[in-house]
Amino acid sequence: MLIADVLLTSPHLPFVDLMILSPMVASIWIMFAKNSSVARRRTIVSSMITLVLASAGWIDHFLSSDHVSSSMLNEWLGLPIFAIDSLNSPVILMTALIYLMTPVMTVRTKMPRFSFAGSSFGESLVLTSLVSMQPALIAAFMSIACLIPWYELRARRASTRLFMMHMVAFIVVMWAGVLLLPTQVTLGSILVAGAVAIRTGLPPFHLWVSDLLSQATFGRCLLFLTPMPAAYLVTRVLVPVAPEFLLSILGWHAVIAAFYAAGLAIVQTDVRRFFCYFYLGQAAIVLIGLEAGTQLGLTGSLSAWISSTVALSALGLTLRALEARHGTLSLGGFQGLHHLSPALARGYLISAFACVGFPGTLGFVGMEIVFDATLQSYPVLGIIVVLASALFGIAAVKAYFELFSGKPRCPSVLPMHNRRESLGIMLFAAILILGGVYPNPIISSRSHAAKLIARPGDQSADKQHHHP
Amino acid sequence: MIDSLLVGLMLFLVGSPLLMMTVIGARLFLGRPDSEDNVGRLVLATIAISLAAALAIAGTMLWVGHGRFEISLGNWIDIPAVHFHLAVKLQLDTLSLTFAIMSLVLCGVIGRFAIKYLHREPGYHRFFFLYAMFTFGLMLTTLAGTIETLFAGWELVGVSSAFLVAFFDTRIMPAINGLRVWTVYRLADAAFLIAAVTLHHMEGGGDFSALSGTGVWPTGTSELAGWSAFGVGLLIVIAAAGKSALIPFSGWLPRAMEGPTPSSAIFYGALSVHLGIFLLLRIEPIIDQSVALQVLLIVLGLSTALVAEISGRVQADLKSALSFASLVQVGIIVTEVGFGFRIIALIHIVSHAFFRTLQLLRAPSLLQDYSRLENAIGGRLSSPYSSWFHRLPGGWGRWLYRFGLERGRLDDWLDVLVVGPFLRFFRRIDQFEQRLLARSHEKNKSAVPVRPLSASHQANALPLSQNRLAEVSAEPSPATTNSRSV
Repeated sequence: MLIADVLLTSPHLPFVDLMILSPMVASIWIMFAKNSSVARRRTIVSSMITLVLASAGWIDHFLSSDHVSSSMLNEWLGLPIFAIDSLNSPVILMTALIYLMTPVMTVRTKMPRFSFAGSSFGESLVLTSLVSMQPALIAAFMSIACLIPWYELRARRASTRLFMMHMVAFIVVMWAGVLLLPTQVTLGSILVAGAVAIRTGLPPFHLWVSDLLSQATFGRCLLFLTPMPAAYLVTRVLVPVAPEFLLSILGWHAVIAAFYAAGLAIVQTDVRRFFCYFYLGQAAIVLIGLEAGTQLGLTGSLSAWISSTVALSALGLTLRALEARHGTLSLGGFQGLHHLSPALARGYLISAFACVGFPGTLGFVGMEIVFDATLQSYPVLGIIVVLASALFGIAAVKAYFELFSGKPRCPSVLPMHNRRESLGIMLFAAILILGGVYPNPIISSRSHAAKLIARPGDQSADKQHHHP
Repeated sequence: MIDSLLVGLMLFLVGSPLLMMTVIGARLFLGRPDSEDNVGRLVLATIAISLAAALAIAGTMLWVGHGRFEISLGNWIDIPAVHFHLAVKLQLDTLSLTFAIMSLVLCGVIGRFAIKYLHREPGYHRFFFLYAMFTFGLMLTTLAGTIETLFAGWELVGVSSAFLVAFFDTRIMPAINGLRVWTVYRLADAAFLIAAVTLHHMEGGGDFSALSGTGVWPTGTSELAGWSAFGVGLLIVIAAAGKSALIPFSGWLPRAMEGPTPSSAIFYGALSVHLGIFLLLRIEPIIDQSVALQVLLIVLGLSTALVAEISGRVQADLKSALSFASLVQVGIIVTEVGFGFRIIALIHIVSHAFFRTLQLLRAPSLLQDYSRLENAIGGRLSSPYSSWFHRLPGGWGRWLYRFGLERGRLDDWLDVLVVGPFLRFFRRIDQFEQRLLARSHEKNKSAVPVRPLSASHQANALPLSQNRLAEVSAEPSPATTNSRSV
């Protein structure tokens, strides 16, 4: 009997429920750890279990007849509450991976400053929002997830004003939109779109991102930013119902945001601010394709979402590792770090090139499809997006030279080689390169997911465009 | 059976450099580089296999009388639902085979030279990884049958070139010049990408049959015409101008001398600088459809040759002089392409590539020979060359001399018109945002500043200018204090 037959005929395990509850319960266990080393070990164990459960959920959805792995709550309540389907399955996997690799790659000196319990609880909230099928549930968990960075800023006696302002605005606007959507689609869509713009950090709502990065721990920022949950809000809630004009406006907004972020990334002299604008640019590019509305654009965006999540996380973790060794990093001079941290230099290059969509990396395919879709729909926008991508490439290499070239430093204490970091970098590099060389499985799955959310008119428009 | 033979040989032709890149790159990435001897053997073996395959293909095609042969390796991306696909196709014809054989011979020579030249150099493995990436990218570009395949190879050549310029990473100037090279490449590649996507959209695919027709090179008629041909052609001309250092992008070529001599030979003499012209020859049927494009190429070529001739006359070091001499020839070849002389242009490329590679590889030892001769005779050797500037009337000679010394001020004009305003604009925005952040922190008086705001109030000098360099040189090494925010 084939394994698949066994899985299909045997009672389904509640993978979704276990995946949500496991990190939540683990966060209590981690809270009572006697020191940060024990906390980190427990977090790694918990994250590994969550990743296994997420993988099992992915396999379960893949093998089930309707390609959905449902929560037990769905059966009890008779409503789609939580589920893993084609749309969110790879995102959940990538998110679980990021939440695993962040504590794995946390160096000993930084452990006391990073809240492992908060990380585990945050993982539960993010995963729950990503498996939620109801707009209200997505809004609820995304709202609660904002508390974790806020709490950290408070604990560090940092300024929470800017972050609070934006997150309160995001929560209020999002809830207003979600509540109005059933009865007033246009107004509800506009409000939800506004909430997405704030949470993603599209200018002029982006200052909270650089503020958070300058004040919170780098790990916390990565976990809050890189899964891009706002993109899920767009795909699950907005794209199926939003009017065309709104998607066009959002598309324009995202394109201008991408170019703006690219220009600012080039002139940065601080590593964290550089990462901030890199993130903003990637998030904007993901939204560009979503707002193109066509199935091709959605496919490109969903692919770009996966690649951006992985690549940004890899880049962020590499920069975090560099900071842990060499302190606050400036991009104003030439630091000469290549000889001290060659592995991190290689990790930086691979992740940065994946972010900008270099051929042979996972980011190339998604970007290429987004460019194609955008040029079809709005040629001027397409040209601006391509230019923005070129500028990001320049910014990435500029930052590389400023960090790793120059007279080698001779510190009195050599930074130790960390096997966990090397493992993390190798794992991310393998995903980014193998996914780039053989992207078709990912693209096919994203195309299938795009078909679920694309509107019928958009699908026929794609066929017209592509038939010479 | 002949077709199967050609397919097999083609896989060796492209697969060998890919294998070289993968093996050297994987070991470098894992932090376990192989010995220099093994790397050298791998390099020579893979180049020899590729070259043998290329020669066998050429011989087979001549024997059978095939003028053109296309191999489809399937779809790299296939989305049937929206009829979107990116096909990987390789194309064998006179142009691609000639260029491939020339490239492999020169890569082999340069590789053999570099094995000894870079012996015990700290970045030995890094050099050969970049060299392998360059070779593979070059094979992919020259043999590409679709514009997307060509673009992938084009990008690999670009990134490896920029990092070879910045090879000596303990010094600042290679990094600055490498960044300049990368910037030009990246912006030119943006034009290429727009052309590729536009073509894909117009024709439903990126096959070169749409660009150059199904005829055998150098014959062929493009399916594009009118404004479509001009638009796509113009974008590709911009891409070619960036790669081949045509005006106004000529400034990067002398900067590339920062790299080691073998990489300089790759750039100036042989391969990288001719890649743009290769692309123009590939899209020649589109250029034929547009008189404006032909005129543009002729003007670009002649002006590049003129500026390079004047600049080359006043250079004080051998490598710079050779780089400008290369640029003169590149300008002339582009003019030939503009006039439609395809075969002449190809012959010119091949002969120029071999000659210039010889000159560049010989340059370091030539200087030593001159030095020994002059020591032996106790005086300077008379130069067979003399500048004709001093024969010009009035101040024209001095003006031309300054013009040449400043290399036509092309880089300065680009900085003044494009780079400077762009950087100033975004720096002002950045400073404005930082002020807003600072104000929001001030209002929260109970907060402790956890992390110092970035020092964007430094001098607003352009990062690539000389006064910025002076500041960087004068600055002490950055402090590596662990701030408590990290």
